[in-house]
Amino acid sequence: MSDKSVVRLEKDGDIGVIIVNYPPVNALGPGVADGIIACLNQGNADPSIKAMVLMGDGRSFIAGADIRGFGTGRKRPPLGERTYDVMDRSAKPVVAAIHGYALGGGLENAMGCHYRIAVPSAKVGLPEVLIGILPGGGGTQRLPRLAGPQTALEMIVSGRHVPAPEALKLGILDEVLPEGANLREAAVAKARAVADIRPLPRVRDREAKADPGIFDAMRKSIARRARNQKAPYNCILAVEAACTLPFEEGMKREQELFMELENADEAKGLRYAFFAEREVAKLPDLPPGVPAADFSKPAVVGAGTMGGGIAMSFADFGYDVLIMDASEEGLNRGMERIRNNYATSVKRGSLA
Amino acid sequence: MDRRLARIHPVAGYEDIKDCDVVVEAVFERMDVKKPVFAELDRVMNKDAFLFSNTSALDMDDLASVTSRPEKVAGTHFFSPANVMKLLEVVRPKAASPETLMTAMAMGRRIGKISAMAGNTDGFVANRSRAPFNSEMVILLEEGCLPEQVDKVMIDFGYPMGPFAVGDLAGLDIGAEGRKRRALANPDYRKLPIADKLVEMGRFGQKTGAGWYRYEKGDRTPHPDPEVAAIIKQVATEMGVPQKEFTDREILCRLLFSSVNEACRILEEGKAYRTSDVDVMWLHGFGFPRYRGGLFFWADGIGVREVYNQIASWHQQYGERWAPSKLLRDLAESGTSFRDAKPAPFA
Repeated sequence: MSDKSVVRLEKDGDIGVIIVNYPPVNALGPGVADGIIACLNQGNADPSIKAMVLMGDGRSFIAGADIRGFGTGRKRPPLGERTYDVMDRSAKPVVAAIHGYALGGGLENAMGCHYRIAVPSAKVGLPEVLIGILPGGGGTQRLPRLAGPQTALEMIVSGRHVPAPEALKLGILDEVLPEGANLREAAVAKARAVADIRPLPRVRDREAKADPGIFDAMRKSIARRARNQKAPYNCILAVEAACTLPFEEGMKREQELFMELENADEAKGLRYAFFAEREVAKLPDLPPGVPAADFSKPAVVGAGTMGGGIAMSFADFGYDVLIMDASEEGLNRGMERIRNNYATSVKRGSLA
Repeated sequence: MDRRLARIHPVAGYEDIKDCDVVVEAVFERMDVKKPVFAELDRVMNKDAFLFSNTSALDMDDLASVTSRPEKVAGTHFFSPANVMKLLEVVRPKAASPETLMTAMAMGRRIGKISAMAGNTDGFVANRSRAPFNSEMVILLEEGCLPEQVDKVMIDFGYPMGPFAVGDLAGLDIGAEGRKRRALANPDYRKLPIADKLVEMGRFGQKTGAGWYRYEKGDRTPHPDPEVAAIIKQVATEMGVPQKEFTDREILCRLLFSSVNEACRILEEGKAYRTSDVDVMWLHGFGFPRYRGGLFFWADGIGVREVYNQIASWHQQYGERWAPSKLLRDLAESGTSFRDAKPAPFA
């Protein structure tokens, strides 16, 4: 591997450290998957390497798929020839070392590894449903085996990001490091500690058992929110397959369900919305390079319904905010309304 | 909750906020109320402070003009409820500096909003593009639709609530004030007699237990009301409007095409950067179903020519309010999608 490669293999003594370097967030862009496979093969072939670590350079582990390639007739490697398959065939253990984000294909790669450790600020998740597809890299088959079908359903159907400490409790991670620990050193130590353990703990070898009622219950609970949409239902079907079919067959089912979605109008609309939300921040006719001024002391004038809501927005995102009203009565009523709004959120369970 | 509440500090006077670096004014939505507030803010605030106004329609150039720092003034239009809705429309007065605009956009993002730039035009971009939809839904009633029928079509389309139920939630008295003002200013203004009649009867929506629907005490479920059906029939008869049956598709297109046409006009006037910005505003300001991409993305799925032809035919049938915008006609003639439309430079 040359240094310019997007994935490189370094050696820390008897441990091979596979490092993805595809800025800014190590999305699964061109060459990344092939690079990981090449490094896994190299590590397996090298008798001086006993175990491996998979991690990301810069801001993140593998953050996720490269969405720009979706719906463009991109080539997806066939089943059996993907990074996860190569990990499954690996004769040596691989430890995923996660910081930043491991979303979508990022978490799928981590679940292909034999062990997973993370820093406390890391986030994992399978958010594919939010762009109208499902995790098509084995995520729907491995997560139910790793964290249980109920957790997998909830995570895959909602697409939410799960913070590392919660992911540890859910069984997705084996270990969360203490604040400030060096991830690479810890991962290398972990790899060394597990180097001789056989059989290798593969997620695919676990069993996912579910009460069949949970799938209908989930379908029922999303019926209103997910009307006119197919992706959330295909997500449920895929997790159901993980609980009823052997792994290889479940993987085939996942592919079928994925293919129904990628080029459907629903996925196109959601992908478009995703990019439109990034485009909207650009102000093309302003002189380039003008920075936004920093602010730290916001004030809201007028404690009516809108003023109160705006003050809450600042407070919700960590700002201390002053709220002023010309009348004392207006100010008191406004603060009362803010208290009531927060109390309602607590009652609804959306705020603690 | 306590942690968040503790970050909100009530203060009694302008002197207490003079050291703040950004102010969002959110007083009553009337120019004669906002102007003195802005003059006072301009007087007390640190000279580097930004002055933003939460307005949904007022002329931001006019408001900026009462300050000695118009370059530091912009509109920041939040949507209700402001702590929930994700859209922040940043309104751009002529004098605003690039730094001010960048700061307003960034402020929105820092508090979890999606910021979108809008020109200083009556109703700005989101509400102005939505306004014809709001008229058209009432005009449909004159022609033989019922509120529950229209609401069902829009819910089936993917909105979380139907537009009439949303009206009842917001309060029908609010829109009535605006219509009165516009009718006075413009003799050709298309009046909405059915809506006016409900307000006259004190049917303001949920808060009075009746609006487009009737409500049971302590329950927000809208129930179709035969009394409303009778009013609709009576007004339609008085107006002599021919009655007809509507397909779901017709209802959907009448509402959304009217907004597509107006949004095109906004773009041709240079009051928005891109068709996709309008789409973002509809997703996050009005609950347009996300999997349909947005107003223009949805319309592209139908096709620019078909949208144009339908609007041109309604123009023949209904008159001026359906006159196709120039941008729409140009796109249809050249076969360009809304997505690839080139709006006028921002004005």
